[in-house]
Amino acid sequence: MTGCRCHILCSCIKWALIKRTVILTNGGTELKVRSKLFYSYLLFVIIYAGFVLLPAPSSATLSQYHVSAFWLRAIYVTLILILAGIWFAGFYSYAKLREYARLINDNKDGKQVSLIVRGIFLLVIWLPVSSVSSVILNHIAMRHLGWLPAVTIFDNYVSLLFPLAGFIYISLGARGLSNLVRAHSAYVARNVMAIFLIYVGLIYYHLVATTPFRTTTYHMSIWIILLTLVAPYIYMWFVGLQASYEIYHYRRKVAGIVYKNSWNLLTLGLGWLIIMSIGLQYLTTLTPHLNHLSIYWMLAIIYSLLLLLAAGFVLIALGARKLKKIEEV
Amino acid sequence: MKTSGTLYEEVVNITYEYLGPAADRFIVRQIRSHLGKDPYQLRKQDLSSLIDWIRLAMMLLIEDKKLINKYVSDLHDLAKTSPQKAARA
Repeated sequence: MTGCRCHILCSCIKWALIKRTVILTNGGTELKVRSKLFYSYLLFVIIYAGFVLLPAPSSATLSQYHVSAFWLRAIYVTLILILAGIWFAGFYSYAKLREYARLINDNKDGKQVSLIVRGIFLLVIWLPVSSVSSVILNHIAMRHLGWLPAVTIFDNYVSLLFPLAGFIYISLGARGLSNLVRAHSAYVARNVMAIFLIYVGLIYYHLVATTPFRTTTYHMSIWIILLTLVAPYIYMWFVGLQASYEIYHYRRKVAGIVYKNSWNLLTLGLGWLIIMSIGLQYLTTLTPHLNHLSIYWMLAIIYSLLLLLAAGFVLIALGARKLKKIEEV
Repeated sequence: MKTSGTLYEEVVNITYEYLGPAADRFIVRQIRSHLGKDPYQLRKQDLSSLIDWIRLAMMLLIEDKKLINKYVSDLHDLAKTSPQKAARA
């Protein structure tokens, strides 16, 4: 069995090294993966795959989902492959957007795009960092059960802090862009967002406060959860939605028919990513409520959400490539 | 983009309608890389060559030939209608 695991890991490394040398061609534009970024990506995938596949699955997990150890590992492999694809989409979109930002760095719009790039980086890195830290810490916690509350609390804050910082940067950039065209969010739009967030916030609060698994999910008192998790999440969603709207507004008001159209995909991608991140984090709180579902349903939900999130990264990459082209010809 | 004066600024002014904030960077790049000049040294006699390069660059960016033709036509109009500005430049 150990030999088999080593073989899987070796294959993963070989695949990654081959991939490193491959130049992806798309529409005649050659896109070479940047080394530092690519090696970080590779490291995340290898560590994650190692910590998920190498330890023997716990008997509790096997009996909960009614599957054999082999099937559980097979499911894990599909999950790893999908996650690796999504992380790659994220890293790739960040790389493309960063290249565009570097080309216009000294300009007014360049400074704002750089802030958005910083935000996107935090969103991109949030996915592997939260997954890898979670899998490592849970592995440790399984051997030292006393650490479980600390590990859970750490996981919850990692899941919050990266996207929160990311959304704040994106929001600063989006606000800067909208200031460039002297366009501010309309009164009606602000009110619709406020109403939407009040309801989203109240439902989120209700889900957190009434979940029967609150102790195992958070390991904190309700007040601490409300003040340090629920409130920041609602603020983050507000910042994200506002940023999404401001970027859309910038695209509408900015001059230049060709430039404006080149922003279409990027605007759509950023908006999609922000809304999907909100949806993903919102649904994370529902996880305890979904425990009664079979593993296949759970996986179908997780895969669909992750693939939808990846679509946002792909749109950003395509949009950034279009904008970059204007700065290169 | 309201400022106008030199021929280069006039060209950027027209380009702004098509490339927005990227207009200035785009024109500077075309003049520097294809004409080998400083943008402020652009003369009326350089316009025809510059327009050809701009047409080529735009064809790489978009497929809408109508839009490209309109842009090029606006630039040709500039060459015809602002001789005093060109001379000043």
